[in-house]
Amino acid sequence: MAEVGALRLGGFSRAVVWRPWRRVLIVLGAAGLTLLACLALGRIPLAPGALASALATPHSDLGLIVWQLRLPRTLLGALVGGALALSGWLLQQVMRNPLASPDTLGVTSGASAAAVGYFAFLAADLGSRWLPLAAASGALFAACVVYLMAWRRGVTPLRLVLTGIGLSALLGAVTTFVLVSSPLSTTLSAYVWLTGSVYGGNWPDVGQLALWFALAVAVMAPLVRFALLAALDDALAVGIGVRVQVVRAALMILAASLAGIAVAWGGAMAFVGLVAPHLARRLVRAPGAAQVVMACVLGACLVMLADLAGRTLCLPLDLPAGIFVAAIGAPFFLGLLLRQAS
Amino acid sequence: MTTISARRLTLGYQRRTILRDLSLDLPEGRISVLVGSNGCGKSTLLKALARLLDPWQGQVSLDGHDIRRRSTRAVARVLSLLPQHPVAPEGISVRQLVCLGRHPHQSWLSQWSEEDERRVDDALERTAMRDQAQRRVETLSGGQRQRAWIAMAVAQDTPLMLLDEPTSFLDLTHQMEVLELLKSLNREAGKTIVMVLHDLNLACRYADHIVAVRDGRVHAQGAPPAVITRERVREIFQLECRVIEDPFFHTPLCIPFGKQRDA
Amino acid sequence: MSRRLLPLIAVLAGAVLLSLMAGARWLDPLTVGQALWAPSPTDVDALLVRTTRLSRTLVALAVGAALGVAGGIMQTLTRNPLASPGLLGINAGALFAVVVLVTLGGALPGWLANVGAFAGAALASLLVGWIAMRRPGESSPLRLILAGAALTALFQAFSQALLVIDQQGLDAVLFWLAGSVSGRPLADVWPLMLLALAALLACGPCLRPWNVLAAGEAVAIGAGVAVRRLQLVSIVLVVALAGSAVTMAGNIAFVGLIVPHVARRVSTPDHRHWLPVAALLGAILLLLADVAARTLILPGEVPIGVMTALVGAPVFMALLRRQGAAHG
Repeated sequence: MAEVGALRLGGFSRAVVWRPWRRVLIVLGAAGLTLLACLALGRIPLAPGALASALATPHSDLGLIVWQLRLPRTLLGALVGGALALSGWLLQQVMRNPLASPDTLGVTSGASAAAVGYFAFLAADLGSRWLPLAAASGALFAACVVYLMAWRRGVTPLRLVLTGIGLSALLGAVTTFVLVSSPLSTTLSAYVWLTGSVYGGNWPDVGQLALWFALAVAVMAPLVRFALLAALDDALAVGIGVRVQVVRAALMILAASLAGIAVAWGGAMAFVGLVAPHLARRLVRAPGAAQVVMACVLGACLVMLADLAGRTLCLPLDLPAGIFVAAIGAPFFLGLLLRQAS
Repeated sequence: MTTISARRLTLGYQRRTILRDLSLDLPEGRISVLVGSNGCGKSTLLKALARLLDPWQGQVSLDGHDIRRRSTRAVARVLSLLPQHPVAPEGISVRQLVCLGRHPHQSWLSQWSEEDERRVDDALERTAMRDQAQRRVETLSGGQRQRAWIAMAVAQDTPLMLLDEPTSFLDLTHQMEVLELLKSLNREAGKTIVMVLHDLNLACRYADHIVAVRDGRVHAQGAPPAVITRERVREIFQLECRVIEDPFFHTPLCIPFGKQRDA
Repeated sequence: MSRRLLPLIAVLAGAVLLSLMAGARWLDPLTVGQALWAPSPTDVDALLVRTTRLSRTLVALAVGAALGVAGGIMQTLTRNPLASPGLLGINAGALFAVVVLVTLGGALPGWLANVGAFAGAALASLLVGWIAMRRPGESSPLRLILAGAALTALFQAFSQALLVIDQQGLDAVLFWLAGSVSGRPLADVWPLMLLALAALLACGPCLRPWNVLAAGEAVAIGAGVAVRRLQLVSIVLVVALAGSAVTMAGNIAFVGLIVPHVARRVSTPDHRHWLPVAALLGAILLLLADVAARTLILPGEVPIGVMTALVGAPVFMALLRRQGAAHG
């Protein structure tokens, strides 16, 4: 029992399993290093010393590059990745399946359809200012539709997933139709969005996303223990006094909101929500707070690295991060599928 | 203490009625076993008692109050449930699983009180799962897994435990082990236990009170020798048998006959 | 059996005729007949019928039949009512292959794009077949469908990535992405049609063994069916049918999923009865969808893949709700 500690203070008490947090700390350290690497590398690579001096002088030329270009963009990527990973973790708990993710459940395709519609019909008049709002409402709307369509005196994970896939296909067709019938320039910018990128992330973006992210995390924190219970059978969960349908609905809304805010600023980045939680589950076996934090940090690392690769590997091209998220995530995911199969 | 009873219960699935106007009182502090042939409604009855199914008519009462009027959390503090084929979340350890049983006693503020810790340790001790506490549930053998689930229900610390076929898929040794465990929980901790069992002879051995269900109604109930007789078994199971007294435990022992042979 | 099929064949003939007549310029049946059997070289209408309309009618016919049967075989093979080329990632695999070829080679000769698409479909079918077959008993419907959805997401992500890198390619492949039966001259697609036809005919000898297989692998082995060989043949047939369909018409969703269900409902659970019905229904559905696609928003045209998704998704959800009654 040594490894399970207890934290008690008056009426407040928590069980703490210390061991997995060591790993979380290590990964957190790695995330810090990734962040530094993202600041140092780019069209103008900086040696550690140069990076330090650039960080110290925000108004020098190099300082501007680091402070105004690289840092906000990297932080935006980290937040997007973290939010997607949290969303994926929640959905995998609620659906009781390691293959569930915002991509397979219609949430991302809702955001995509909304964003592509925005590009085709509204962007000309409104600019891209309201794009995040459109994407996030698309995501939430899709989640609500899936939930309502799957409702039949309660929802079950199976029906949710299948309905989500059906709606995904429908929305995918709508997206394609809009793409096909709009001019090529619109199609191209929509495509970059669909792939997912943190191009031109600036401080106001980071501020807004961070605010929403913090809000979502604040809501999520007290719900984590219910997310752990959501992985139980319905009968078992009822047996220990969980209001299964309420919990499921609340977690779904939360997951859709997280994915919604992430795609609002990062575009329809695939696979983060699938891969990061899964990786976290392998590093921290026991479901719990440590696993959640791990997933979030890994998601952040994944998108930061992908964006770094996107803007450094194919110079002078600056490629969308989504490409490299898929490139990193896909082999991993295929391995997962095949291992599950054998 | 807590009593559970059903009043004029009618319910079913979709359009099919399973239980018809069923009333039942279960004795407090005893082991009650529901028996009956496949599809007679005994599992449905257990689920209704555990508030997993909502009755069409009638009600299930806990201490005389409608179970659906109380919050599911409040019910979970007096009634624990082990469903037929429980599935554990991936990667969870036995100890974590048992900790989940404490959920109805916890709040956002207090998620691991000393009481919680004591109850979990006690549950692991009682079910002899202490040495397995750190193992992952999916690595356990069938018998151990069932003990882990029972430990979770024990940690829930309820006066009333409902179990749906706790011995299914276990070999005879492990069936005995689980039933002995439940018996000790009843005798030592005074828990009221209600379960569904398939094996009539084991039911007779361990039950204080047998409820025979037939066609969605209580056909007979009482102490095993009163319920398990040749005539009754024929009515309940449509099976010819002889009932003798078990020479060692002095409970009824049912010896089934084939349909073609008369004896 | 033929009594069951006759009305459907009549409907199919009607749909074919309708498809030849319909479009921005409606023709009467007489003109169509004349164009087919006694064409005058100077008549514009005859030219219209003999070139664009005839080819898209034949393509829709072949693709619909192939998809209906391919979905049916997949559902029998995986014992999963939701298995279908669209949901399990075969379409997405084919599209991905086309995108790769386009990005690598720029404008492609038609046959190379066809070969590429077919290879992609085959690759995806084998992948998903392998995933499905490894643990057939235990794999829940959910697992396979999620695996297919994720596989689709995977191929899509890669396709999008490549298209973002090579923006010229986008225009060339939008046709495949949206699904369309137009602009496919018969000269390009006749080998695919032959392949689909051959595969349809090759289903004949498998119909009875499939009936046994539908009862479960163990049962089929017990009944003396060479299960492994049958599964292998079935996968080959799926590759041929789904591959040729997606190569001819691109991403057409839901036909392979829904048609077998409807066929089983109007026919009997015997494969010898419902699989031919599925072929006919698939063809009829796609012909009608194509007629709607090219007449709804004149002078424009809705991609037929979008049409089938718009019709199919609600039917799919209705099927789910109905199933929900059975499985909670």
